[in-house]
Amino acid sequence: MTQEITVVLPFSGELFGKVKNANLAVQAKESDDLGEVAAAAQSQNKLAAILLSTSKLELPAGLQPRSAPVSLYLETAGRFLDYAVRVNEFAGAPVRFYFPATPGNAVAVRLLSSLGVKAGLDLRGENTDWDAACELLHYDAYGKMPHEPIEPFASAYLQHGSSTYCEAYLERAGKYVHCDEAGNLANSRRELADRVYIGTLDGLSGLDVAAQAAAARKRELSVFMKLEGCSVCPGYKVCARKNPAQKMEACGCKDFMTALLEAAREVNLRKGER
Amino acid sequence: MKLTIIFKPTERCNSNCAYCDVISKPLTPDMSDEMLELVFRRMGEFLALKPENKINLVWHGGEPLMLGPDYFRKALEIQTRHCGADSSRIRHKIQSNLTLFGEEFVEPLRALGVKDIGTSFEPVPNVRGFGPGRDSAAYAGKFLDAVASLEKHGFGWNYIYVATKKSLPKAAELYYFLTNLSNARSVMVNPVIITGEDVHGLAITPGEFADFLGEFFKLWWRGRDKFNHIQPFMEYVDMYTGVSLSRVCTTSGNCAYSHMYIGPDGSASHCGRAADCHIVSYGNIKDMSLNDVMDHELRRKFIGRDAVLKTGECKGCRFWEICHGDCPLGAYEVYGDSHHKYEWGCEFRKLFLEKYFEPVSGLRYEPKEH
Amino acid sequence: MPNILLTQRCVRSCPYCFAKKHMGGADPGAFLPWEDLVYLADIMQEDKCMEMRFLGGEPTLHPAFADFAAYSLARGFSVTVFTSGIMAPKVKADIRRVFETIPRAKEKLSFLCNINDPAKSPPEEVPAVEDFLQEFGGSVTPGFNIYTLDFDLQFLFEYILRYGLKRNIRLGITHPILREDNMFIRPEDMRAMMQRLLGFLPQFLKLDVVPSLDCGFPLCALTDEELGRFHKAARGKLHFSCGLPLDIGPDMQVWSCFPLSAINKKSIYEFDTLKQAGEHFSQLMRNCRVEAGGIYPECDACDWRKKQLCHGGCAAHILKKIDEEGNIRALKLT
Repeated sequence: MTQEITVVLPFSGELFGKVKNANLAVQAKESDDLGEVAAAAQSQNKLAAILLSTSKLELPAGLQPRSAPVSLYLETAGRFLDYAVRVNEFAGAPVRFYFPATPGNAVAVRLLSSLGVKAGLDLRGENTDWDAACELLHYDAYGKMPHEPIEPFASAYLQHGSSTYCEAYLERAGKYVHCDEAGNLANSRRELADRVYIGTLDGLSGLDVAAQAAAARKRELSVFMKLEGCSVCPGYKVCARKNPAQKMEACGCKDFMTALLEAAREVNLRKGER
Repeated sequence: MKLTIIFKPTERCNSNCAYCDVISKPLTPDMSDEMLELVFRRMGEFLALKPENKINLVWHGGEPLMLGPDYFRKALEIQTRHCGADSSRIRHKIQSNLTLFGEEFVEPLRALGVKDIGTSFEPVPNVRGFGPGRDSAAYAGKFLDAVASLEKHGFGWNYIYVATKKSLPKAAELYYFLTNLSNARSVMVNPVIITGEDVHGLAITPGEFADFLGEFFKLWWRGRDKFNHIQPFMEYVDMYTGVSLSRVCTTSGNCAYSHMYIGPDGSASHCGRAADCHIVSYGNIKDMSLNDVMDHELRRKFIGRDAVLKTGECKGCRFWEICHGDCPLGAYEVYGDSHHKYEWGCEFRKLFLEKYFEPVSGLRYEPKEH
Repeated sequence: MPNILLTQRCVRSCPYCFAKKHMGGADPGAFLPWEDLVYLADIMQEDKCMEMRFLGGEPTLHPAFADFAAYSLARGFSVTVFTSGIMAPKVKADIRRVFETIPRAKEKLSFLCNINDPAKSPPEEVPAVEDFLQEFGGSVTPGFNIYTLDFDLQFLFEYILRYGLKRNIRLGITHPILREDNMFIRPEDMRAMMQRLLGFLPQFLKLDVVPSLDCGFPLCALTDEELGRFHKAARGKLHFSCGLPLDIGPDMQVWSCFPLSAINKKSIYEFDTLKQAGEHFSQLMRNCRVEAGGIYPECDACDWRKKQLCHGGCAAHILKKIDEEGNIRALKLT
């Protein structure tokens, strides 16, 4: 059972020691050496990914060429001229840079992607600019020149309505569980912060993943109590209100989600034509 | 060859749907244990007589889950006794509003081999609901909880949406609602059938249903690769492209060969609509076998309908192979005779296909027979 | 090769500026946004057109000018910046950073600096230009726009020697702006202008500086002998063409070139490819040349024009005539 789900947890030898043969996605700190993180995680488990919040747009220390995928979360890219010199080293590295969805960051993601650097927007923030996200989506889906696929769009295309874009952030009930320093488990980062616990790391092997997925599905179905808002949104399939930061109706995401679902359709149709 | 039995062991229902024909009339008491035994005995006899046949036993109502989980356990036990090895040729299906579904039904339904549950739902308020006030919010809550539970236990579900007058202004919202909600294996959109006085103002004209379905179709066509389980659209596509003929009872022209109804008191009729509207009676299984029901002289008139219509009212119609004069029971209700086309269905279908389906899809139906 | 206008704001008031109307009438706040630069880079790369030309107004006024240059270099483009050389210290510092940090910037980033005669320029402009040339001279090609017949090129030779500029002077002549009243070299003055230019050939040869001609010079303004001398001085690269570079504004409007910027503008988004846009405006130009082959009546029958050795001078002269004659021609200007 432990191999069916991925545990997203902080870098902690104590926590690693509580599980064996599990898939781990490790949340490292800026000061951590990724080589050490990987070694520690892989001593008894499998390393699926490394997540790192950082203030610097640069490759983290200890990054191995064939590392598990690394997601770096930053507030802003800053000025292009400041990081232009490092673009070549970013391209080809197993690192994706994520930024909150602001107009400036959407531009940065576009630039990085056009230069072969993996990048994406984190749409889970309270102040997500959906228009900026939509503009970037149009570039990603319909842009003239090949470029590095942008997340979370690429995940949405891949799933094509069978799951949601939040998988890019390792958020999907039944597939990922999030763990805090004390070993408490929740279905998402937000629920962890809100203390909506589903179990503990000690009891991971006994965790009823199916039940968790079902409980999440039940919460998801609550939008269908009314014939309005999210229940009638053309983009619901790619969203399913998995993003806990979204407010009902008024958050302005409808156009974006509709466009994302349409883009997923177009991208998959084009793939089918080749 | 497959025989579909619309099996109604109860007419009781916990819901109060505004357009329901069953609960608007005096109810027949629930099927007795003796009658339940007889049903399966008759099925056993039929299967022994017809080794090449299978039976779809469609539990219907009212609301069949009102009978409680033990009733289904009992049914299985009776089936085993009377049908033995032939039980493998019986497939149980169930049509339920799901509001009573809970963990206690999982094991007995699974034991009967039920994999999918047919249901329907109405998100427009106050068309369906509990009690005289038609509490649709409480109904919706129970329904959605049940869907979560069904999915958790690995059941599929199929979904019928009944379009009424109140649906008409909300075509786009309803399309997205149905496709967003549904992990359903099949979604079918049907028009409401009102028998007698339209007390609640829910009846719709053929033109209104054609326009409603047309709005759905325009949205569906773009995403059909994703939502290819929406009916009647996918069926029309299959018929137009020669993949298959109509599989739906109302338009296949074959219902007389394949359907029957058994009510709580053993009364036998042509199908659910025939029984609910008291149109046709073939007798009672107390006095006749299932084979007798299928061989009833009244049924032979239904069987002869195709030949009459093809050279009569439906002669030369481009859509004959798709429609077959639509539902014979609909015609029977109007004329007291099934040897007429059901005009409501005919008019709707022509309008929908010519105004929406063909222009949007670019397909054009050309009859195979000449 | 399109010219990309990063902004229509300018720092100078050149007496000859044929861009004046466009500059003055344009939204002063308009700067080309990043998204549009990426789009333009995409369509250029799609057409294998790998030279970015940044123009204005004054392109270095764009708040992200150096970042644009760095990005274009990172995409593999070479970048030529058409500048007055008058820019803020911060911009120069940014340019310095681009040269120091961006791979291949030294080979791929260059400036074309249209320098006005210091004797005729506002006094505050001259030191600013000279500071720019002092710092970046090795990457600068000097340019000069001829707008009067008494022009002097001597200062350019001095700048080349003093600041180590590239040994090439790009010579342009001012053209009429349609529907404007601006200073331009008239067709009847072309010969006199060329005579004056020929007077500087000995300097070109002595200092090993190559003259190159921008668009609109007529071949017949030179005798065969003069043509031969000029050809040698230009190291065999003399052109008498009507260039049709395609100018793309910060609002993504596109037109064939500045003198014709008042007419036939379209959005670049109306075209699927850059090539398509080019073909559109080329066709308009062909339509124009059907009306009149060139700036002189003789151009219609000219063999050299038919053989495309000369394009018949700037089409703006032709279109100005057509526009002023009123609605009696087959060619309609919009």
